[in-house]
This record gives sequence, C-alpha cells and structure tokens, in this order.
Amino acid sequence: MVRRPRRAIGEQVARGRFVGEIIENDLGHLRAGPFEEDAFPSRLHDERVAALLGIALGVSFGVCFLTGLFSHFAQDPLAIGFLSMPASPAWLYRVTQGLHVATGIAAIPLVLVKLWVVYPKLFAWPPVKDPAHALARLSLVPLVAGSIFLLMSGLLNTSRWYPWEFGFREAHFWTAWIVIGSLLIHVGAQIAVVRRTVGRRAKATLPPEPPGDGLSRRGLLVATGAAVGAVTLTTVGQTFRPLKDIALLAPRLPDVGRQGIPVNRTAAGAGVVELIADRPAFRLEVTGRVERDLVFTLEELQALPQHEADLAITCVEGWSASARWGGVRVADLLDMAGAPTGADVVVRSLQTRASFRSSVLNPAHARHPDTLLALRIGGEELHPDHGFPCRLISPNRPGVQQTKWVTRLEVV
Amino acid sequence: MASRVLTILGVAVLAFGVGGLVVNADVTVPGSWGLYVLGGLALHDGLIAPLAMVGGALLARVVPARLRPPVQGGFLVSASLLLVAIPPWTGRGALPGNDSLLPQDYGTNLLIALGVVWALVAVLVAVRAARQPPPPVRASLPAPRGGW
Repeated sequence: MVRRPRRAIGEQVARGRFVGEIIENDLGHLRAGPFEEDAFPSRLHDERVAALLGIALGVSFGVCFLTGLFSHFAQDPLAIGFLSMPASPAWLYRVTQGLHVATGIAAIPLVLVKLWVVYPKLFAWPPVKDPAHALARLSLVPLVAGSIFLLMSGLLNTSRWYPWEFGFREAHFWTAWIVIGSLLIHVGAQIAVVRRTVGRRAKATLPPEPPGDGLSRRGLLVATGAAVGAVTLTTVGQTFRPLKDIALLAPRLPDVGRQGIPVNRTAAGAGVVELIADRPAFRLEVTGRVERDLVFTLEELQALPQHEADLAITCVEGWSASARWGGVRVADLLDMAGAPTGADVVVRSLQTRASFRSSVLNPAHARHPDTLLALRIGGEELHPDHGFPCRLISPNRPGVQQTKWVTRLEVV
Repeated sequence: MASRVLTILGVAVLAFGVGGLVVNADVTVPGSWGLYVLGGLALHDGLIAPLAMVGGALLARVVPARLRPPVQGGFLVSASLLLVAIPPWTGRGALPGNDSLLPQDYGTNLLIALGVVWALVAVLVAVRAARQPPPPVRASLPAPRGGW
C-alpha cells in the first residue's frame, strides 16, 4: 500500500486554504470528548444568558474599576490640585471602598456562571479558523485570566492572606487596566450578540427556549442572583453595621477589637511597644515650615482645648467601623505654630519600619475641624493598638493614612 | 463603528496595564504574577469547570427532573459560599496578638450558611413534589441526549 505523504500545514496555507479547513480535513477524526458536536447538550449554554450575565459583569467590573481608581489615588495622590482628595463628605471613601469590595465579592458567582455558560466555546471546532478567529480567541486569555486573578487576589487580600511574592496593591492595580482593556475589546466583539439577544425587540424575534429538564434559563439567572445575595449578605456586615450579625464569612466584624474597633497593625506588630512605654518621655513636635517649632508632652496635649468627632476607620480591605474620637484639632496646632494655611502636613509615626509609618494631610484635610490628633476613643484613653499616645483621625481617608503613634507634624 | 472604537480603546488600555506591570517589575514581580494569573485560569478551566460539568451530569441521573431546579440552584449558591469562605477559613492571614483579624469560626459559620441554603432548597423541593406532576411528555419529543 502506498501512502501519499500528508502536506505540511504551512504548505497548505500557502496554497490558499483556511487553517480551519485543514484542521477539519486532517484532524477531524481526532474530534472527541468535549470537542464532540453534542458534548454540551444543556439549553443553558445560550447566547442570551451569556449576554445578560455579561451586562451584569460589565456593570460590576465598571463599579470595581472606578472605586478602585478612587482608592488608589486616595493612597497615592496625583500631583494635580483639583483631583486631590476632599475632606468632605466624610463618608465618601467608606462608601466607595465598601462598594469596591462588596461588588468584587458579588462578581465571583457572576463570573463562575458566565464562564460555565460559555465553557463549550473553549472546545469550538475547529479550534482555529483563520487569523482573525485566532486573535479573538487569544484576546479572551487576558480577560478571563485577569478577571479570575483580580477576584481571587482581592478576596485573599480581605483576609490578609498573601501567598505570592508581588505587592498586592500594584499587581491588582495594573491587572485591572489589563482586564478593563480586554473587556472593552470583548464588548466591541460581542456587541452584535447583545443587540441580537437582549431587549424587548430582540426577545420577540428569538426562538423560544427549547424544552428540557432541570433549571430553565430564567431559573439559572434567579439562582445566580441568589448566589450573589448569599455571598453579599454573609460578608457586607463588615462595613454595613446593620448586617453585622449575619456576616458569617466576614474577615472582620466592625465591633470586634480593642475598645470595640478592629485593628490592622498592633503596637507589637509595629514594633513600638517599648517606644511608647515611657509616658513622660513622649513628645509631639510641630515643625517644618512654621514660625515657631512647638514641642508638647502628653499632659500638655491633654491641657489644650479638646474636641470630639464621630469618624470611621475605613480599611482598604473592605471593613469600616465608626467611633467617637476625642483630642486636639490639627488645625489648632498648626495655628499655634504659625503654619501657612495652604501647606501640606506630613504626619510621622514612632514606627521605625513599615510602609505606612507616615502620611500626608493635604490642606483640606489638615484644616478640617474634625481632623484630630486623637487621645481618646469613646471617652477612654487610646489602647496602644489604636495608637497611644496619639493618632491621626481625619474624615474621608483610607485607614492606612490614619497614622498611629504620631510623634511629629511636619509642615512642608 | 462602535465596535472598532471599543477595540482600539481596549488595546490602548490593555497596553497601558501591561506597560505598568513591566515598568514596576520590582513590585509587581512578573514571575510570581504570571504564575497566579495563569494558575487561576488553569485551575478554573482545568478543574472547577469540568467538576461543575461532571457534577451536573451526575445530578441529572440522581435527582428526578421535576425536583432538580432547586437542587441545582442549591449547589450554585453553596459553591459560591464555599469559595468566599476558603480564605478566612484557612486562617492563613491571622497575625499573632491581633484578635480582631479573622475573629470568627469560619468552618462552623460556613456550615450554618449551607444549612440555611439547603433548608430553603428542601422547602422548594417539597413544594414541587406536592404539586400535581405535569402531564406525561409527548412521545414525539426527542429523548434527552447523553453527554455533558
């Protein structure tokens, strides 16, 4: 028997045949398992279901992206004046960051169901039809892999679990751009499907749902909604206090911690236990671009006019808890030292290591009447884990910038 | 037209993200990043999705068609709760001396949440079972196909 040697794929392409055709002719006999035509018989692998889930995901990823950008630039301010973080409304960052984490958690079931619905397309036959088809398939890799990465890394961050070597915030931030970019490409490629399958007019022209047993398409969407509700209700109490009693899976509870407030970095963890042990030795300096440098002991700070403010600690990890803080207004200290009104103020901690041992108050925050060097929480002296002898508390600001164990205000 | 604009914009935004990752390689550590990005994809496409497919096929053999929808929904909700519970449940983020971090018993709490879900599923199944069964399927309909 004489076998004709099979032509190389490159040679066949050169003769003007499509890759898909070549695969079908030469490898069609290998088509089996999930590549089989009827491998996924469920009526739920459907374009309209995929489009509806896609719209829900587009909204949730959009919310996550915008609130994420807001949080990123709250921590790393852009050097553009009118974009600097305002001091009011005081609740703004609390709402945006709570929304960021809650929306990300809600997107987990949405992504899982969406990927399940379109999973058969992973085994499309032939795998590659032509260069355009190859490119379209390839562009799904950053979208799917990036989305899984964002949701997974964000979820692990809420539990402060970091098994990787990269910096979470930077990797999460840059991957978000990759995902939003590939999402735009994906929407561009699929917008025709959405137009064809979603909306009242489209619905009238669609063929009716084929008969079958198990969940209907509507049933799948209802079940997905139930899953979104379940993961939201069991976690959102970490920032939304009325639901704290059912926050079964929340990594934090807004009333569990020293003096009823959660703690991120303890005094021992920050290495300041010995530095704050000697009460009489504590000094707070106000220095930098001022008319006169000031130095206070703890007793002297306590003797200054005291003010109270109801403000929340809002952590980037998604929890928040409000408390009544008491202490000295930063604005009063700046006035006593004769600092210029438009100046930024660097707030320095006793901490000798860690990336958040200082923070910057922009003029709006520095001069806000609720911005305090707090000495008390709920009427009690601060616990060392909350920043004894004194800590910064200021409205509309991420928790990592509410510097604890403050020893110096530097006007710059 | 809209599609072309979105594509061009998307490529630009994607390139900006890749650029940021590369320029900040000292903190984004592309090796470790790539491992987790591709690892997550492999974990989903290679394990989670096939498990869901096989689980769905098994369910179709075990649970009568008429009672199946609430059970399928129950598994979907349970899987979502399980995923969200895993990070706190492992306790890997705990820090010594900080009781406010991961303060709950997440294994027990997950069981409570699953208990509520499956109690609801049981109610829905009972309601369906109590209803009159639908008229028998006409013989002209094709038999259900096998496979996933």
